[in-house]
Amino acid sequence: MDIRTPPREAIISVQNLSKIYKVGSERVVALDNINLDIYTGQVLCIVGTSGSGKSTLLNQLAGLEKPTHGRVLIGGRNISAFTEDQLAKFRQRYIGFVFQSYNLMPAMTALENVQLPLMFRGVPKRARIKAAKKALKEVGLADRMHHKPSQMSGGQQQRVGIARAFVATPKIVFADEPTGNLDTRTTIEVMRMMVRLSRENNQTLVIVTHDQEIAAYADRIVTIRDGVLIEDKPNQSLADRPEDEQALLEQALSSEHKAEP
Amino acid sequence: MKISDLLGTCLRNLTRRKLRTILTVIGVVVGTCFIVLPISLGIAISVNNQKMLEQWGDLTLIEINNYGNTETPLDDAAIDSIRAIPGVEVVTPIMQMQVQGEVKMFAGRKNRYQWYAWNVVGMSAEALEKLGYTTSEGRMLTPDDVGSKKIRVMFGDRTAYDFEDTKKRWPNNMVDYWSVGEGEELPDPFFDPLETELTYQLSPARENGKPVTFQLEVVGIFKGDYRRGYETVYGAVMDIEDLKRIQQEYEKANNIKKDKTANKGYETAKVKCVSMDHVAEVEEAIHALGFVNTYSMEQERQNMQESARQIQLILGFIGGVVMIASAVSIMNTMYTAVIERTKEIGIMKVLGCELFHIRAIFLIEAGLIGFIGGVVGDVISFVGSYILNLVGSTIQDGGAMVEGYTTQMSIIPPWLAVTGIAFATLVGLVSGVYPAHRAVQVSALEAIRTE
Ligand SMILES: Nc1ncnc2c1ncn2[C@@H]1O[C@H](COP(=O)(O)OP(=O)(O)OP(=O)(O)O)[C@@H](O)[C@H]1O
Ligand SMILES: [Mg+2]
Repeated sequence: MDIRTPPREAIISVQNLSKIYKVGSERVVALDNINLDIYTGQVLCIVGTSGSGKSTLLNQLAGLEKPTHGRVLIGGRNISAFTEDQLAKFRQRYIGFVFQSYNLMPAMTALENVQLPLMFRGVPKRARIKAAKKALKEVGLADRMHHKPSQMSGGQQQRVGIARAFVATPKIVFADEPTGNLDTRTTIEVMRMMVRLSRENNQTLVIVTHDQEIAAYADRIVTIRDGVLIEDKPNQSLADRPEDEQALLEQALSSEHKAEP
Repeated sequence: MKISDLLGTCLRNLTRRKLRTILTVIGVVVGTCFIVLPISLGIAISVNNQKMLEQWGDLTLIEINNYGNTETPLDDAAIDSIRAIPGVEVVTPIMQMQVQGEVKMFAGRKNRYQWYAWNVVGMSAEALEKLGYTTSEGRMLTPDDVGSKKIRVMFGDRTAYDFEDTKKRWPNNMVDYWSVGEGEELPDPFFDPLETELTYQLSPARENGKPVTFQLEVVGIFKGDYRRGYETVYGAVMDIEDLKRIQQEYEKANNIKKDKTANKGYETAKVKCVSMDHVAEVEEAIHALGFVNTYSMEQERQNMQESARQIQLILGFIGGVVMIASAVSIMNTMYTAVIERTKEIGIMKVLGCELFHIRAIFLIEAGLIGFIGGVVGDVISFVGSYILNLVGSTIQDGGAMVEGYTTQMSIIPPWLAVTGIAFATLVGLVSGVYPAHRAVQVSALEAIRTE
């Protein structure tokens, strides 16, 4: 039972997915027979303790790694059977990615970084600069377009990362610990921004985190423990509850204040 | 990705690691120079050889000597079949007047001036121009001149000076033109051959024989050129048909019977080929017709070319070795770049960069290093070539030089410059193949891995 009433067509369908790593003679079962349907427009959080297999699952969903058993369907297509080349073209058209450590190209300005996905698609320069500028404005970085990553704060870099993930309006955006390196205040900003952007275009957003406060922004929270999906519950996104969010922010600010003697 | 974006990305990457790029490019520059300069030296050697041979004689000319060949006469039919050989531009028999007695030419009132006309040559008028004979005065003898009543001839440019004044005594009987200093104007001969009627007299061998005389008209004067033949300096040339006619009349008047068993053909002939490249073939074809005694510059030319080629090969080999070293250096640079940029490559893959484009980026970067190295190497080679020629010419100025003939030590023709760049680029591309392959294999997961 979902809070939002999404269409019943799953955009991502995980079927009997297992991932087993062999380290020497040892077998590490990172994912154990996962079944999961994710619907268009959902904001889904994957939570779990460290080492539980969250990142492994996300990488499978984004086609960065092949499963040992089972398959991942996106839009009905079995991406687990795709070749590297097909995957690249597929990601180019349907997928955005936000990284924990931002992963901006160090030699490029914010504007150039945001253009990258469009450049890979072959979008002409003029058009992609326009789109990149618009995306940067949306994340509030209109005045930082020509800054290089080294000239920006972590929060600003992550906002560039978000602009880059959303600029080509992909169907799905994946984010692995997007706020892992950020303070509470910036975390709230970044989370709001991602939820807002994905809502605007009815995009599906899948976020990995170990932080319950971040999970509060999701429509749906999936919990993993030792590679097994143990809980799947709906949630009313904090982004849709401004009063609660305000309280959270104040609490965070006062605790920060206290920590500063 | 668009081509412009690919190129832009590559240039950005190269300029990002400026020093390393420059060092790698320097390797290619040295390699290119070591290939272009040695080849330019080799080219200069063969060009100089050619010039030298040209000074010795016409490189497209084959001379046939059939004296003493009793089996195959070099007659008009044989001349026709030589003319039919592909690559032959023109062929002419060469014939000297054969007279037992004295042969003289006279000019002036009462035959005051006389010349012992021992060098009168007959060849076909149409061949003269094609054989490279040129005139200094008057015009060239043409086929239209053949058979006229006054026999038309060409003079060598010193022939008129060779006439002596029978009314004067030695040494005043000759115009002194040999002690004239360089650059000074020559004195006039006793008469202007172009304006003077000449008498050609062939005396009989025996006491009771009758001399035969003909009236001659000089239509032009050759530009003297020993390489073409002595007749262009001290001699006279008429068409071979006229010469044969004179010969016949002389023989008739003196009742000379032709020896029936003697070779009826000509003794010598000259064959001019369309170009240097035809000489070897044509010469072979002439041998096949039965005329084995031929002479051309071809053999010398080939020998010289061969040794020039060997020098070039040795020097080029050194260049090749240097180029291999720079190829290894490009490969090293690109491989290092792949390792350094592993994370970037992973990010690009996650953001949807196609494998083909990742490969292209690394190949183009390697190719650009080669290309830039090739261009700079060419520029430096041109400078080096210029300096070599400058040094070379000052050395030569010290020694005795043939006038109007400066030897170059190094020549870089356009094709060599282009080849230099193309080769350097190719070396770059080939060196980039393996690093590019490794780049393609980088996993997208590298983007997520934290160090
Ligand atoms: N490439 C690999 N080779 C071997 N084992 C791996 C590999 N990647 C992950 N694992 C193992 O799989 C399990 C799940 O790892 P994963 O990175 O998915 O955890 P996580 O939930 O993302 O943890 P964290 O919150 O710390 O990021 C771990 O036990 C890890 O050691
Ligand atoms: Mg993780």
